[in-house]
Amino acid sequence: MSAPLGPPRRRPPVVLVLGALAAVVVAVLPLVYLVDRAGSLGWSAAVAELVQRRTVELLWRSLVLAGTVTVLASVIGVAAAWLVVRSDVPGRRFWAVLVVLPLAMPSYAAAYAWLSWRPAMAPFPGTVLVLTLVAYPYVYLPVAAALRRLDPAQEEVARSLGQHPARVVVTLTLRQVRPAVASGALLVALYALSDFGAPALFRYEVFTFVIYGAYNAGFDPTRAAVLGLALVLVAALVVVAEAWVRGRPAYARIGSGAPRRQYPVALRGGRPVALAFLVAVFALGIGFPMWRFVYWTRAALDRTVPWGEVADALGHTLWWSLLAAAATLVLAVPVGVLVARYRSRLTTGLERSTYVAHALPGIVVAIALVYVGVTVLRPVYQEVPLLILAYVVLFLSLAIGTVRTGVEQTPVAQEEVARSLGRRPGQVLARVTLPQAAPALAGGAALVFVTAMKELPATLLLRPTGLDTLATRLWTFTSESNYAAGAPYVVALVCFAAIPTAFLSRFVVDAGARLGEHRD
Amino acid sequence: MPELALACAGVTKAFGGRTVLDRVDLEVEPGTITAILGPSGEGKTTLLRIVAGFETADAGTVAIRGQVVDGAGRPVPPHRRRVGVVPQEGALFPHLSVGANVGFGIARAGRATRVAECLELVGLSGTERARPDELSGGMQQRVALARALAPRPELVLLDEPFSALDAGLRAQVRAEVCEVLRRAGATAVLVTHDQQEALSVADSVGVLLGGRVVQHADPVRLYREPVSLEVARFVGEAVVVAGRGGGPEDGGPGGVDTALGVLVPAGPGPHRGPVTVVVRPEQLVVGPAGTGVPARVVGRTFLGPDALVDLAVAGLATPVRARVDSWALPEPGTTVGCAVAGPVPVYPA
Repeated sequence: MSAPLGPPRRRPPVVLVLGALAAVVVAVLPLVYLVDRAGSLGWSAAVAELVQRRTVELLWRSLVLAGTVTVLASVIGVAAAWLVVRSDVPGRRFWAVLVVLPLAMPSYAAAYAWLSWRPAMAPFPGTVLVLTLVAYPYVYLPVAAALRRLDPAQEEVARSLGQHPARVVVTLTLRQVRPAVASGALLVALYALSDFGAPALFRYEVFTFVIYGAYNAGFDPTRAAVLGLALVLVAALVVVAEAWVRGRPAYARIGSGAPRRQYPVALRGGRPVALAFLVAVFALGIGFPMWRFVYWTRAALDRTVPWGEVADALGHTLWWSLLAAAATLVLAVPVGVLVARYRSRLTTGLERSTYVAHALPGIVVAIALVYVGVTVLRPVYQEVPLLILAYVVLFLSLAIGTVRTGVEQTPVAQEEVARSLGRRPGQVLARVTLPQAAPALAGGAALVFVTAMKELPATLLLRPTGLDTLATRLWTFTSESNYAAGAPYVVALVCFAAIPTAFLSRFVVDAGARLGEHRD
Repeated sequence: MPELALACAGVTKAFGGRTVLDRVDLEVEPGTITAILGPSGEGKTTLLRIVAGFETADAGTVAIRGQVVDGAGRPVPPHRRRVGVVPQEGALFPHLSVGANVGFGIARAGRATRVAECLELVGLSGTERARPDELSGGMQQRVALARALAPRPELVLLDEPFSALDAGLRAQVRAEVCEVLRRAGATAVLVTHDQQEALSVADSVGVLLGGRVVQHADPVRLYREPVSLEVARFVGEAVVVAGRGGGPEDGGPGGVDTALGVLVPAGPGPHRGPVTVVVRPEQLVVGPAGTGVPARVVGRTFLGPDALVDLAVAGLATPVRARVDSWALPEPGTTVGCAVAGPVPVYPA
């Protein structure tokens, strides 16, 4: 009846393979450098560097930070997703946008807000607080999308079999969204491991901060490379752990009928508590920082604000992020299409290898690209193209996930009909597949755009000399505790990042696209 | 002799070691509707996909209008085969209007005229600007047909095009689609697992069993003279009865001697010795006791316009099933007379 699935049907077009290969080369570039650099030290020396007491301490600290943040962010993200998607908490549609907004809040901006209020805030609690509040949307988005896709009939059957509603949530609902929780938690863990701004501002010594120091102050690129490599290994372990937690997806549905409408679960007496929870998350994640930004902006307005410099920084931020989004999408499309349409060992391998960069912290990619710039790409070293290349390396996997999801939403039968109507494969891609994937492509581009706007370490190291983004200006002022001077930059950054983020929340949850569920 | 619209010879295809198509031969005359009938999962769709060029055959050749498209050198890609496809769910392009869907495969010059022409053909004039999701399932299927016909293909392939429609609509859309195909003078190959569908709409029916086209004939012949017991069972309900054949020269009655009486063989003989015959339920004529052989009513299934009656007949281990008009339904437990009308296919036992 239906076409046999499974075996690869055709060989993929050469153009797609070449495009995907280009993407892979870009993605694994930094790793090649790290290995080369650490190897230049001699492997025994590199290992000696790694097992130093101080390195082990750093490693432990990074792991504790990442673990704490991941657990807290997962709890908040899952709870918020269930409340917004499945419960009758007041203002669900409204909350659906609000709870995603922290994606627009860079960690160092939130850190700025808290430190400007309590400059003596303890490093570990401060870093955990900030990272949790900005990272929980990474769990919220995939879990909300997964919850929306669940067939309500299963919960109804469980109820009819005599199970209490709360038990149904635990035994059935949460178990079914486990893969989504795992993929979201992976993103949070990688984020916490690789974040540079928040620990740096709180002076909490973790890997990224020390790597930056080794590179910037001590100018010891080899030690930076060795530490970077260690961080990559930790990140790789996290990726493996996630695959293990996720397990095999066990979700079966008979027939092709669309799942029925979901009816929200009545919280009854729990509604005020639920509402208070969402309000608290929003108040701490967005409300408080915004209040501090406004406070410092008023202080700044008493002096003369260098509006010209703010406008320049905003211009650079928007333009470079736009270039990054466009370049990333161009490289992500061939990989996404290959994986969605020509699944084979080769294409899966290509896709996987692009996720290597996903686990690479921005600071490590930046150092690697400084080296690449100095050695092979001299003409573009400290020029815009190299910075855009760094953004592409960092964000390629984000875009591939959304491209793949978008392409998979178009039935293969449509492409076949288009072929039989006399269109060549390239025309089919351009006229049938990609137009329908357009919302997903736009979502991927928006995701890259926002993330690039907020990016700090790579931008710090690779930006053209004398040119600044909002993020780097903010970094400069905040690390000098000059909060009033930083205020206009942080307000501009958060406001401009919030627009694509709001768009993203609608796209990701409504279209059921799977942010983070990009690996099998 | 006019060139064949489609000629498959020895087409073979295996997926992961499982042979789905095993040396399939199929010839389709221009201007006809051919149904490929077979159980689910027996490679019907795979055959269609090979003809369309979405898959390549492991062995054998496919020729469209005399041009070999698969099996000699590089397979001709789908977009150069001039083969229209109507998939199960229609697969309209949801981001394009109805007009743009129909015009997708034709050149810009004269596109609007041809689109209007094709929409008129399927009875949907004036819907050019509608979005596919504004149309009912049956209308979507007709748009999909118009889209496939618009570039004037050599061949239109329809893959279970009516199975997504509900039962009430199915017969109507089926009739409309076939009417359109005939008016357009198109050559069509229709894949289905529904015997009634195949027998009612097609000029000829190819039965695909065990990966092979075991019989390809017009519907009447296929139903009356299936080449094997297996085909007989597949194309309709079959009452299988043992018998003994023999001509007058053997001292026999000149037909096949069975528990249901002496039956007339369909098709050429001779049939000697032990044989198996297939009787269709509607061939079993139930009359008052004393006509034909005596039979006792042991069960019945009421279907509305007609009914099925299970009859226990002396000399047969299992009851035989007769189709009777529902107003003449005998009571269970009564004894009736039972005779066989018309010739019956005969197979060696």
